[in-house]
Amino acid sequence: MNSDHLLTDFFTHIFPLETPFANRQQYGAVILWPIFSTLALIAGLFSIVSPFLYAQPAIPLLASAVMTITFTGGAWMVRRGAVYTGTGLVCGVLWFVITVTALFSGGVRSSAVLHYVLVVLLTGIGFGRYGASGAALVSSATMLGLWLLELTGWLPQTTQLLETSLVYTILISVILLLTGIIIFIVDAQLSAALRQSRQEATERKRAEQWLRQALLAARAGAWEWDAQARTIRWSPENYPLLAIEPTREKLTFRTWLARIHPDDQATVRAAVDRAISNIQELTVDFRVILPDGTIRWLRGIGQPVVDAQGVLQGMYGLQIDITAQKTIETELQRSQLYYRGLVEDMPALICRFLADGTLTFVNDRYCQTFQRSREELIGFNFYELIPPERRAQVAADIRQLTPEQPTMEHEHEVLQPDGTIGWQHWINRLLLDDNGVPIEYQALGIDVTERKKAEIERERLLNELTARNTELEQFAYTVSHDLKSPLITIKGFASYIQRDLEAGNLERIPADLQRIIAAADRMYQLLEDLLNLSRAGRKLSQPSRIGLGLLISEAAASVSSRLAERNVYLNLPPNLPEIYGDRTRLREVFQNLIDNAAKFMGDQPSPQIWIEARPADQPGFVLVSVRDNGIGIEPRHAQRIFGLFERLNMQIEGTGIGLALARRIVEAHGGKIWVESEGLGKGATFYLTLPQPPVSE
Amino acid sequence: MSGSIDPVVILLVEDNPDHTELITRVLNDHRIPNRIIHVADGEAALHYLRRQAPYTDPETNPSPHIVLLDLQLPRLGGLEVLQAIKTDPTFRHLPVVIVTTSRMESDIRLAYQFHANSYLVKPVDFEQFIRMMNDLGDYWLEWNQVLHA
Repeated sequence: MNSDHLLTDFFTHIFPLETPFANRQQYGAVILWPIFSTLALIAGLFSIVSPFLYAQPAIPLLASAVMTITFTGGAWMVRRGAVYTGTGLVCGVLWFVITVTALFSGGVRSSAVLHYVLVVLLTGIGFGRYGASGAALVSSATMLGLWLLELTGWLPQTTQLLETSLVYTILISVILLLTGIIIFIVDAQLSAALRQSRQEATERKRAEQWLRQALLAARAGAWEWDAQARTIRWSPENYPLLAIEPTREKLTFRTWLARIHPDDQATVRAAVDRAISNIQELTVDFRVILPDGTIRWLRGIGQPVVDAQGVLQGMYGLQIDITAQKTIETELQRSQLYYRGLVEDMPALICRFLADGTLTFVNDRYCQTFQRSREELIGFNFYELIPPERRAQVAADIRQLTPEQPTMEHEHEVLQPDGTIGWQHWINRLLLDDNGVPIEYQALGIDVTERKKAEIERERLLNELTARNTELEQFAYTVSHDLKSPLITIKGFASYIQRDLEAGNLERIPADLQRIIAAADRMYQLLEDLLNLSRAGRKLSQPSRIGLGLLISEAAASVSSRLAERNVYLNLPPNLPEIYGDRTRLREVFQNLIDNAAKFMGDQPSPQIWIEARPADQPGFVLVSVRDNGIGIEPRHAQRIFGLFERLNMQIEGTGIGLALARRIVEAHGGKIWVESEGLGKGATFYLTLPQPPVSE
Repeated sequence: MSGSIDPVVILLVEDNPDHTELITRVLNDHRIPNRIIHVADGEAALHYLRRQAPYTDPETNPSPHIVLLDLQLPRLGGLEVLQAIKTDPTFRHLPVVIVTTSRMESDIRLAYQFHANSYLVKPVDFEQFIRMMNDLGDYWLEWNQVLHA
């Protein structure tokens, strides 16, 4: 009923419940204190109206006054929690007042005895079913006593208290009303308590369900440890977590510990002991081995519970399956290990840097190469390790990297710790974050100095080889011509001689014979020179210190016949320096130069040759000049004359090998040879640079 | 053929005096009358053709009808002389026969590239030498029609 509900709600609003009831006294108090309060009010009202109801109102007035005080006191005591004391006191006083009133108002026939019903009801509420039974027995016994007293005539005679039957009716009605009120209060309070507790139960159930779902979702199980009882309670979610069949086995501390990996048991025990002895939060990761052999990672966490005195009461906690997380962690650690190993052990330089060149990472190789510590290098700008004139190009290369084209290779020079310039080959990569935004650059480099040097050396050798090949080609070309020419001459004139002899025509035979002899001589000279030239191209013999003056004197002596024939005067100054090289070969050089000068004197009336020497621009070399006042050379032929078989003048004997040979010998010594002349008739000066002896200790 | 016809003028550019003598002897014996003018180097050959000193007199230095050119020459090589002749509109028509000892492929290729009219290699054997010079005379002096400038 709505109205009924309204009323009970109103009532429970006045006398609010204090739930949950921990024991009988508490819920007795909840019911009794509104009852006692109500009864105190009613007794007070009765004491006011009783003088109008009774002929002799002294006794009812006294009784109702006593009861008003008693109920008030009882309500106060019950409110304080002293339910048994309060109820006992109230019921005792009530029984006494009823009995006394009955003694003076007609014994068992007095309406007062009906009040024993109230005693039974109140003791029933206060002390329960045994209290009610006890009170009923006591009341019945009192009634029996009253009857006995009446039989023996001990009761006072003036027992007619009530004025009229209306009053009697009113009194009985009051008792019935009181009974109704008491039952009403009991019902109101009990149904309110019941409703509240049902509500609580529903809420608790829902909360439990939340917890269960949350635990399942988290792959976690809850536990609760009671320090006093020394027991652990496990939530059902722990069973699947440890793969324990709930119907077969019960999860206890012992079975739990048995599941833990042997290597982790000590760790777990230590962590638990520490949490308990220090009263602190528990966190420990451990492995459990499931019956099928799988290993699962669990994380145990716990929160200690202490009482007001700070004594540990127990601990609430969870154990959570973190296998997936651990697997990722392990994988990550392993891959980090692999990559770290790769980065550190690779025979390459690895670094990361910001767009401005500031290094953020370098590997060991990088540190070793530049001989700087990692602490020095991190935060250092790597452009400072590159020769200044190359920095702009390197920066331009790196700026080309974009998210679309994130890698690039290039080679550049670097400043090596020993001050020399080295070469490095780098692969640069632009590192992007998840959104494709550039973070920094990563670069992998290798030292290619040796390769670069080899490339330069190869280039040089290739050039030399090309030069040699050209020379060889020239050689084959000219040999085919120059060796065949005298042969044609010999065979041709020999044939003419034969014909002339047959015809008896002897006139031109001596001249033709002369041609044949000269051609044969030329062939011999050519072969000799070729042999000489091929020797010159080979390795030089052990170099020695040579006095230049003596060497030139020897060379001049070997061509003395030519000098004498042309009456050439050789000016050889004193104090010529020492040179260093292959004595025999170098003598050939001067032999050729002096012979050459003597041959090309033309019609010079006083042919002369001047030798001079001074330090060359090339360090460690002497510049020697051989000057003549002969026919000279046109400047445009200055280069050609050193070519193999080159002859500018066919009238003058020679094979065209002498100057080629001289050049080859000089170049084999690391020197140079060239000729200068102001033109025909102005004489010529041959210059050559030759090594000085090494400075002796 | 009557003797009144002017002899064919041959410009022989040859640095080797012996070879010059041999070629001259063979051609002098040839039945076609000819006049050999000899120069010993490339520069002289060009000077002669251009009538430069000392070859200024047209009487003593007639224009040649054919040039026999050696390749190995002092001062200015045979190929350079050939190129000079064949790039000059005045002399382009002149038949130039290379007579050399070189068999080098590069020489032969270059000679033809520069429009040499023929390329002959001097045989070492004298009988062959004579035959070649006679055939050369037959072909170039008799059968080949030259332009009389």
